[in-house]
Amino acid sequence: MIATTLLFLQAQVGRPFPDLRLPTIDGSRELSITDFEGSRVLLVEFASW
Amino acid sequence: MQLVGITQEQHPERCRLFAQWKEMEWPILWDPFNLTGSQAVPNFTAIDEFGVVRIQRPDPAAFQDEFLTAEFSPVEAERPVIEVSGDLRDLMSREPDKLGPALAKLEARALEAPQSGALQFQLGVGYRMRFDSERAEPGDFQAALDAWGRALEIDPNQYIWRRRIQQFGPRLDKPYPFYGWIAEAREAIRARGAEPQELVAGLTGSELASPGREAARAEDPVQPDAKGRIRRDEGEFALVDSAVALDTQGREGVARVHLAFRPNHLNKAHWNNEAGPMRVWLGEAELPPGVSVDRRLLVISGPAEAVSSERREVDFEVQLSGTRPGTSLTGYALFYACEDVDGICVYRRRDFEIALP
Repeated sequence: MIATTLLFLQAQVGRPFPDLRLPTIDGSRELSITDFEGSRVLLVEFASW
Repeated sequence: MQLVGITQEQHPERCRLFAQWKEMEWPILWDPFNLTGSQAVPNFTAIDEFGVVRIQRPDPAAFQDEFLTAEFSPVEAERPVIEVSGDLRDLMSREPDKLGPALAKLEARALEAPQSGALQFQLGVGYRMRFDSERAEPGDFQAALDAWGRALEIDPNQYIWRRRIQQFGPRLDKPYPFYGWIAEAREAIRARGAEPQELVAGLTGSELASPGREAARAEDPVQPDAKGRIRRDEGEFALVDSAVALDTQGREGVARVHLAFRPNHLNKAHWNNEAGPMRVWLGEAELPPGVSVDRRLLVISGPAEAVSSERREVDFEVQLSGTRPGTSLTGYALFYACEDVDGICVYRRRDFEIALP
């Protein structure tokens, strides 16, 4: 894995999606896209406002 | 296929309420600091079982063929790891003891890289987090607005950052009512027999306000203490803090002012809700020349309990025209408070002065 101090996510088509571990909105756990390897994922980035 | 969400939101409980309303039962991650670097939302990304990005903004009509039933192979490339710094983790923990030290570290990092819009934005998020906590310090909200303003000046195309300011800003700068859906959501959830998710940080009027083309003009209510006869409180019972949110599009003379009142815990003061609500009057007999507001008299009601200690917030629109530099808006709050349990209960007037842009 490449460790980087960059805080910007660059999700390029054809490249691995970066590993960014964030808390869930209920605060119960932390997750990253890497936790879903083995499944196909539709990632939706949004906001309720 | 698995759905996963990332929300660009200051307050995760609001997203929880939204997810509850829309019955979104998939994992949603909280990214208050915009670590993804997205400049706008929504974004959709299709990722295969090897963790490889296959499609950005998939076409719904072609999704089945191009993703769901397509065959993919692993790629020979290392996965980047985005480390989340300790100060941001501590701020996201929202543990009161961690907020101050984490914010100090973030301030130091932002000072070392003054041209980093991202750090300025994150600094603003941190200040607002502390403002929303029991460890709020005077000036936190204004510091948040100022940091976000610096971020937006560095990158004016960052719409996530712009929206964070507009959320609290004047109606002239609003694209839509940010949280206008909340009442409908609560009603719908209760109709299903469930209890709506509680919000931790209360909604300000600015977050519910609809866009406006003109600043509303105040009617002429009667000034509650025109003769200045109510005894002044110099902070013994109530502390006051203010923040001014400017128009992000640079329109001068338009702002949203936020006032926050807290009982002075050092004196064990608390609000007395039995005698009546808090009333806030803006200006004196007249407003300063060139200053207009959407309301002169604001009322802040307390909870149903007889006594309480919550922070009381109210916000209003200000429009300036031809004001002199250094113009400020004075006003006062009239409130009922008590000192300690079974202590004296008083009716007081707390004056304040707000520096206008």
